[in-house]
Amino acid sequence: MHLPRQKKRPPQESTITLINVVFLMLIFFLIAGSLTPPLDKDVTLISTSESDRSEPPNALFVTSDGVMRSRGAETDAAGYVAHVRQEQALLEGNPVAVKLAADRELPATRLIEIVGDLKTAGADRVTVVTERGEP
Amino acid sequence: MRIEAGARRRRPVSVTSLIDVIFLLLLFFMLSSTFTKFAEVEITGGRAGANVAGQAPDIIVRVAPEGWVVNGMSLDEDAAMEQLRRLKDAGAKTAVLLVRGDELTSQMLVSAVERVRNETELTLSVAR
Repeated sequence: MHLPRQKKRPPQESTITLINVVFLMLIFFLIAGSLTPPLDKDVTLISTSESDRSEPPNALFVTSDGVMRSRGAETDAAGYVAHVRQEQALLEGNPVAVKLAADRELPATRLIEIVGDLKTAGADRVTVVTERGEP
Repeated sequence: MRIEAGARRRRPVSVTSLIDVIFLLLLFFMLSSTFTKFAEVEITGGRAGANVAGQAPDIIVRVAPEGWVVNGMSLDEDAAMEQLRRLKDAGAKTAVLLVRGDELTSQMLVSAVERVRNETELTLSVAR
C-alpha cells in the first residue's frame, strides 16, 4: 500500500543567531564610526595627508561659488562669528576659533578674502578643515 | 475564605521586540556615523597689509598652477622646497605666501601651506 510520506519540516531558523550578527554590527559601528554633525553635500572637502588630526567639524561651509553656509542656511562672516560666540558662550575677551570647510575648487583668493573677513569680524584663529587621505 | 490566585507563570520576554530595538540602534549608528578622517590646517594672515608682526617677511613665495616663485626665482615645487630649506638654514624665519589670480584653487593653496609647514619650520602666513 502506498502511504503518503510525512513531509519533514525544515527546522525553524533560530533568531538568536540573527541577533548575534546584528549585535556585532551594532558594536562595530559604535566603535569604528564617529558621530558627525551634518556635512554640507555641495562641498567636497580639501584633502591633505600630513596635517594634524581633528574631530569631525562643526564648521562654516564654503561652496565652490564662495557662498558661506552654516547648518544649511546662508550666512556671512560677522553672523557666523557671532553664532560661534553665542554657541560656545564666549565672553568678550575670549579667543574665538573658527573652522572653515571650503570646497576644493574654491578660488584661493576668495578663501583668503573669507579668512580676512572672519578675522575682521573678531575670529582669532581660523583653520581649514580637510579630509585626511592616505599618508 | 481567601483563595490564593494561582501564581501565573511569567512569559519569557519576546525576542522580536529585542531585535526591533537593536535594529533601530544599528540603523541610527549606521546613518549618523562617518568613517572619514578629518584634519585641520591653520591659515594665518589674511588681507594684504594685515601682516602679523607688521614687519617685512624674510621670504616671499608666490604659488601659481604653473610653478612657484621664491623671492623672485621661478622654480618647480621640489626645487622651491629645496630653496626654502636653504633660506631657512641661512637664517630666514618668516615667509609669506602670496596668492594672485583666479586659477589657483583652495586645494592647491592648502597643499602648499601644508607642505611648507611640514618640511620647513618657517612661520608662514598667507596674503593676497
